[in-house]
Formats: sequence, C-alpha cells, structure tokens
Amino acid sequence: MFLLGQPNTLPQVFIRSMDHNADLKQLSKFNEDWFKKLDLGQLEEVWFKGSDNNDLQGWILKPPGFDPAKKYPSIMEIHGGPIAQYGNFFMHEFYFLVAKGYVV
Amino acid sequence: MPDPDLQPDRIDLFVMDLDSGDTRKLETPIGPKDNSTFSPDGKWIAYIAQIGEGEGWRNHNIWIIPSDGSQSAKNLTEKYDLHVNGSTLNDNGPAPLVSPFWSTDGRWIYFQIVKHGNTLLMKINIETEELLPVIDVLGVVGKPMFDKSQT
Repeated sequence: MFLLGQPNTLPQVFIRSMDHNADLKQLSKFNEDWFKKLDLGQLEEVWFKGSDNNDLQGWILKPPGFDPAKKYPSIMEIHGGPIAQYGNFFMHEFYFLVAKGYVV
Repeated sequence: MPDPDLQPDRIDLFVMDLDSGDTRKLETPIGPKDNSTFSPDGKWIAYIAQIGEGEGWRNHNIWIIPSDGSQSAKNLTEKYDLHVNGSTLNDNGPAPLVSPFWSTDGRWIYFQIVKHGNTLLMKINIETEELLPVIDVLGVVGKPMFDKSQT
C-alpha cells in the first residue's frame, strides 16, 4: 500500500501486489469530482542541453486555454537536484501563476 | 579536540545493550547518517548516509554494517547514480517518507529515491547489490508499506 501524488491530483491511496508488472488499484478518489471541473493547464516535460552539454530536465506549465499563436509572460522557477529537486507533484504556486496567465 | 557542535556532519552509530546499558560505537565513515534500521534477525543495521564533511551536495546512499561491528560498513548503492532520499520540493509537503525497511527474509532492503522529480520505491539485494524498481510510476510515492506476506 502506498500514497501516490501526481501533478494533476493530490495523493491518493493505492495498492498493488508484489508483482512489479501488476496493475495499480486506486482505493481513494478524494476531490476527484472537483478536479474534473478544473482546467489546470497543460504540463509538459522537457529535456535540453546545459552549458556543459549535460542533460537538463524541466517542465513547462501552460495556462488554461493556451493559444500557441499568442505571446505570454513567463516565469522561470529553478530548483536543482538531486537534493531538493522539484517534485512531479501538485504545486499550488505554479497553478496559481498559470491561472493568472503566465507560462511557468 | 574540536567542538563537536561545530562538526554536525560527524554523526556516529552506537548500539546499546538494553540489559547492561553498555554502549558500543560502530566504526563508520565520516558523514551525516540517519534512518538506521535493524535487519529482521538483528545481525545487520541499514542506514542512509552521505560521505564526508561539508559535502551536502552528494547523493545519499544505503549502507549496511553488522550490528556486532565485525565487518566494515558497506555502501550498497555506491555504483549507482542514485539519491536515496524520497523528498522533493512542492507546497503540499513532501511525500511521506519511511526509513529503509527489510524483506522478511533479510535479503532485500526497500527504500525511496528521487529521480527526475519522481519519488520511487526501490529494493536492493544486500549480497549481490542487485537494484530493482518496486513502484516506479510517474509521480511521488509516499509511505509505502507491505502486508505480512511480503518477501
């Protein structure tokens, strides 16, 4: 049994057998109806080359109703790893900013 | 002798005999260490550590040492580029973390890691150092626990 949190949902309770390939079974669905009513924006994982030609990972979060033909103000939030890296997890601050029209 | 308060990375492990109260220091490399847990038979202690002083950027690793101190501490995850700590940043609090825990047969240690923003559950064999994913879905895995049939 474990908790699983993902970018578009707060942690829920899951179980799985010890078989690594077995399906997860989700036991709790708190706030699911509420989340269905929300447009949180689009989250995209990106990889790019750093100045030392090393691989850098990031995410781009686009505002709800994003129009690629339009220009948007952008905010870059940086926190490296492996220690204290940003989690692939729900983040109020980022969703607040995209709801205000920023690309984060 | 330098003031130990000024050397917070010099953390040692001790075993105390509950009957006699005798305390014995286990010889381990210098560095921060925490989350120590006994194997089911009590013969081993697993713990999480970094190596060195002022080296807080380093990956955390899983170490084991015999609880009787008869062998040197062994870094099980040294050959892997692996950060043995499940904590990531967000504004909900981290995924609830657990100390490393042992399989009932004492052959495997389960522990959380972070990789590319995901918190995963891994296991490592204490003899072969084989490393396998247990729960490696995208997202943060918190508070993993098994029922009594776990191996």
